[in-house]
Amino acid sequence: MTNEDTKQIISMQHLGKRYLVRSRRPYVGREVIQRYVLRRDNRTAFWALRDINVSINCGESVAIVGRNGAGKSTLLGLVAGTIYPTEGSIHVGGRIGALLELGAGFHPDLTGRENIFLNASLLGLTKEEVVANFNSIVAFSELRDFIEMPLRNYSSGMQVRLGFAVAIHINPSVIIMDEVFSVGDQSFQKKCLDRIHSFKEEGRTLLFVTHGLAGLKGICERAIWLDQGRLSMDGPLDDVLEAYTASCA
Amino acid sequence: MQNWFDVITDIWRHRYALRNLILKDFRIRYRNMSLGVLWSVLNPLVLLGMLVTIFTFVFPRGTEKYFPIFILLGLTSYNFLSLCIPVATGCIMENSQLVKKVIFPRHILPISVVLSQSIHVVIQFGLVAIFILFFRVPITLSFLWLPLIFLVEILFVLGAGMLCSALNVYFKDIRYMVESLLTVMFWLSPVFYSLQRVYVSFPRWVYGIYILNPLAGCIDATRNAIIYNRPPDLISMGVATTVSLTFFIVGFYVFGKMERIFADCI
Repeated sequence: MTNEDTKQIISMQHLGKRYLVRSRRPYVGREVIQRYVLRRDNRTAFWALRDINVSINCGESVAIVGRNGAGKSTLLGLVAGTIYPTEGSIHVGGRIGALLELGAGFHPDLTGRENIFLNASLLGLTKEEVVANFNSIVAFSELRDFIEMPLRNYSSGMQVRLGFAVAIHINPSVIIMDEVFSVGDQSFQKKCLDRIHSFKEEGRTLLFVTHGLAGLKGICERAIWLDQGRLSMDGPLDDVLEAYTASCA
Repeated sequence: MQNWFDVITDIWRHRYALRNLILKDFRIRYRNMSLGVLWSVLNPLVLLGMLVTIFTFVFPRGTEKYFPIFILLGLTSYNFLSLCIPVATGCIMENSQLVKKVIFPRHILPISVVLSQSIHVVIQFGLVAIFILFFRVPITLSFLWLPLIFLVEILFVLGAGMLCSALNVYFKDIRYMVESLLTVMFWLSPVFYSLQRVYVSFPRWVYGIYILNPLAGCIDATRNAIIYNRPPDLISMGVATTVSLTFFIVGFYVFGKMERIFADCI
């Protein structure tokens, strides 16, 4: 293996994801009759992504831009491993921290403390790691006074803060963020941005989806533009943003 | 997931998450109730108490020794299935947010549900133990068979739980089928009668099909251990063990295969 290869942390070859869209949810009875008796398949194929060839090196920060439904979130899901490709392949080296949705799996009846433990352990931390990071998580979320309260008493901003605090403590080598810039109030947003910058300095790989294009400058040096599931452009951030903005006008 | 070994090590790495999921189920179930965890003792106590009363005073002439205990053991074993499998069936849909957005071995969802529901089964067995003492059933070394029987039952429940929860993601009517199947299994299990009755009253091939239901062998073995101070019947318990193990392996395998489409379907 050459040095070039070892630096590559994400590689996609002819990556494609097809969804079979159906008008009604499948039931055993109807499905068996339609497929095996009537020999009819009333699903329509929809390619959310097709023929994507991208490699990302260790330490790169990449923004993914595109219109609604262009396949941005599908791409992030494929990188994160929550969905599987229909064709082609994707390889990711290292631990992935997916901030696809902050606080997914938080339960309203559990207290902040219990939710931290549940969420962090689902994200792959061991008991020792959660205990060791607990104070730091609470400090980052600035929710010390509310930590023994059930989550249903939290405001939505507070819940997102807790989710963000947990997510950044799992020490990932690839960090994926889907529209998480709008987190919390102004001061918390600044804190998150500072944290993202320090991730970048530590040499972690960052992958962003956002519509707030201004926020990307200073973080990402590269951008990928997806259009209707196809790779439209891949290059330096400024060039791609310029082309993308021009196409939207 | 590439192979068995990877899946199993991944589950092992997430054992702390498994523990937290079980705790979550337990906490949210009782947090908002004034009597709290007492309910999981009170509810079965009322049911078991009524059964003991009925079968002691109303139908006292059961042909079996310790007839109320005989019934309680059958019912509690059946409850293992009826408490675990329906909840496990819906567990992927219930946790759709987790499945879509967080990466972890999905196997731990049905496993955590089955284990947390098993706590309630253990509580019921504890209550039965009180009745066993009350009726002065002699305590013998045969009781040591119970953990083994419990293991066979939990393998079956885990397998069926994983299988049904995976299928339920794709086919939305699996949970209704599960409900009806459980009702059928209730009457096709030796809850209110003995396995011996089935053996003597039907042709051999009917009995052969009957014991394919792993509950048949398990309930019979439980009664042998507690009431009759006998080891399990080799044939029925052997069949039960084989079927349970098969269910577990098939359930684990199908779940692992279908896990790929979970996020697409929910």
